[in-house]
Amino acid sequence: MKIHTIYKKGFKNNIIKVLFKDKYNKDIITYNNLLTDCMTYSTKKYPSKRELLMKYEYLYDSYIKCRTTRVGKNICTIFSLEFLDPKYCDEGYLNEVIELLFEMIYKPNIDKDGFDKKTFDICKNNYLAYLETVKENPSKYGTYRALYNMDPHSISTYPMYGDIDTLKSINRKELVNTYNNLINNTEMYIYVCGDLDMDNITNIINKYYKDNENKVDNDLFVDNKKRNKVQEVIEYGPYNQDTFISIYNLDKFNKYEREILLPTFNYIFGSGGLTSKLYDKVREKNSLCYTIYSYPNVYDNLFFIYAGINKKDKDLVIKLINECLNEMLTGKFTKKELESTKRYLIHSLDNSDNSIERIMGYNIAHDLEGLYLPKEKQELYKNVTKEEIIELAKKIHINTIYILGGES
Amino acid sequence: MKTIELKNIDQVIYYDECSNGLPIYMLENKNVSDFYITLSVKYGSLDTDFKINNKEYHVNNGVAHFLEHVNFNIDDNTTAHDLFRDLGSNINAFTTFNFTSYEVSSNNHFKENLNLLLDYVQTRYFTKELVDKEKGIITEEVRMGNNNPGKKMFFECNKALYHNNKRKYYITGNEKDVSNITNEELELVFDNFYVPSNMFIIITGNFNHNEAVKIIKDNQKNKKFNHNKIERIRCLEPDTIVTPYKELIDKQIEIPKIRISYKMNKDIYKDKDLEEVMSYLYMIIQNNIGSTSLFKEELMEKELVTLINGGVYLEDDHLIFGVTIESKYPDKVIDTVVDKLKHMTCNEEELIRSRRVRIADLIYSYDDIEYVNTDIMDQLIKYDKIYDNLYDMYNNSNIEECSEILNRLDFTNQSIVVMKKN
Repeated sequence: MKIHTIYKKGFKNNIIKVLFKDKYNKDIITYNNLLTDCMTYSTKKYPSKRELLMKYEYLYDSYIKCRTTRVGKNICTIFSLEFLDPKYCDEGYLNEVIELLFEMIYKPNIDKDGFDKKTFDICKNNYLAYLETVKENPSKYGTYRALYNMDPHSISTYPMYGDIDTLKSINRKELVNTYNNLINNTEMYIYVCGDLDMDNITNIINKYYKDNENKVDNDLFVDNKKRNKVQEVIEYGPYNQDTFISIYNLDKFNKYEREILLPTFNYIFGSGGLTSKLYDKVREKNSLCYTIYSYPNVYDNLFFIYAGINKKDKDLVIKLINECLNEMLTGKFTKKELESTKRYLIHSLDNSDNSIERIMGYNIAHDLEGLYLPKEKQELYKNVTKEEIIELAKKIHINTIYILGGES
Repeated sequence: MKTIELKNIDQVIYYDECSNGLPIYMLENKNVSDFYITLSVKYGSLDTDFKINNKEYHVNNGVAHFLEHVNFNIDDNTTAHDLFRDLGSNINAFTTFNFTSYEVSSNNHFKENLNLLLDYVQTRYFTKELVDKEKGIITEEVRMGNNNPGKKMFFECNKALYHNNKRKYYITGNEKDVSNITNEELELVFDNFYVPSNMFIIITGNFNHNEAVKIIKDNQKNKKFNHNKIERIRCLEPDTIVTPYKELIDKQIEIPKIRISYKMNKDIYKDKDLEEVMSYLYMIIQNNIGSTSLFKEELMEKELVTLINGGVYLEDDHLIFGVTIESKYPDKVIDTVVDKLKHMTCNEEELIRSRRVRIADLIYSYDDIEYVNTDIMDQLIKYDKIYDNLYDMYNNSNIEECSEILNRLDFTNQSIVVMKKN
């Protein structure tokens, strides 16, 4: 396994990411989340959160965070270490901070009976509380319920934050199996970015990491069933404002449609702030909402519109959204709108190296998912035509309209 | 032009001022490709009562925020968003208790962006139709805020703490306030508070400070503004609290939330620099109830809390010392936390670690042009100056000073708010 290094001069923070790629399996999501909570809570050498955090503070507020994401039918668990430019720190700092990262990965706090009981109990309790409070957030809960009503069996529906019933059943011994799977059966990547001596960094990393030589195929796309007729679902909760979510199926797009045409369409249609069609029609001209926006999930072949509305206005909101979509289908957007959209998207990519996190994001996405790099995207945006956008609009099909209505 | 050298961190803030009183603060960063400009007005949600040329006025709650919304209008059919879109820029605005800020971020057309920002913010266009339309939008924004348990808790705590201070009211106003706002109020506030001497501009990122100053001065030189005498009327706020304890039922809450607050007159530290005091108080809170504290570890091990964090805030004449807790057992936890707060300690080892964290965060922050712009803004609003010695302040922190600051904390005025499902 190669250590991927990206040199970027001038920033004071640096990041190392260790990624574990695996095939998606709904049954392991909750296990994985609890595992990474436990791994970032304590290690063999730092057997409590407090001791680990004191070590971070000692290392000039360095920090290791972990999250698991799904990209189509792959999941990726990412440990991310952020640390200060060594020139501001004590001698030996670099070695200590990298050693800590691999201590966390390779020396978890496990005894003969499984994960350390104290760590396990605290992490499980906190995770349980987190899941119980999902309902407090109507946009998060509403999105889950919208997808569930679209298709309860779809991969897209199962939330990446896990589920309570599975969590309650996990014991500390079987969590070790989840750990062993992470370390032994997944494909591993390491990325480093910052203003660093990369040869030195690579030598230090090589002292600690253990390559497993696994390969996991990319399986990036989820098929979601279409409907012949839109379904409308209203559910209720103890909220003040009503949450509106509509879900659309996307036809299978090629790479160019996915990465270039769809963002262009989406900016004009619904993500371009107060100049987008959705904002202009639903908010500005009719005062029906404060927030409305659209966003795609290209790997799930889905497209979403989200708005905070009053449910008594539901029918008018749907009518106006359909008008916006129809305008895209019939080319009712000007050349000027298209050109300013392209200009915006091109210029926003000029900022692609304005932060270490962003630089890493683009490079990892290019390597793991085959996405265009920023310079390639900028060139492709220049040639987008109105006809291409209209053709793309024909590939978006309504599936479900969902409202999480307030009772208060 | 003046320079403010930020000691020990290789950063320089340039300062200049237009002849009409508009101050300009600039910090360059050539490692990035974009720039971020904020034009702020010292008018916020607290400023509902004021005198203009000795005549008293009162406006509705929510006027500052409403004005921020309608100020984007250029004419009946054009908003500032339309114009900035053509430049490929992002714009936004926000309103706080003390000020309203208009922002633009972009990586090209620096001169055009800067001129457009100054022009649209400093020129008003309100009609009855535009104002009425905005009422529906802001009403939905108010309702969205009511969907947020954290925000609801924050304002309930403020109601329990404050007799007169308008921090107890939503920045947006409530739905009734919004419906009562008039064109005349908006014009009154705009004409008198949106004047250069009551504003400031901060530019961070990749730009040239000499060019920026020239653009701004050229932009401002022929503009006309009112020069009325403005006096803000703020009611005196006593040191006592309104409600020592209240429980609220909210069906949206799944796990009870608790907020324990202490109200202290900032004069307990009148012989000290307040930013330095805040820095020590931050360290004291983190070390006693934060993530590296034994106290938090014990609460977590006993599964008494799932969240606990604290902070200290400077709010006009008072310091508010607050702890937020999420717990299924509020009755068990409250007394334990209150007792801990009244018996906090500080030691040398904790201080050394905190020092490293503060220094690291200070250094990191200058990579983020939006963060550092906001930080300059905070310093100007809170202290009316910029600190050039934060590195030394953190590096020279010592246990004697920490102990003295800790010993002066006054826990007399305590207020507790609990929100639960039933």
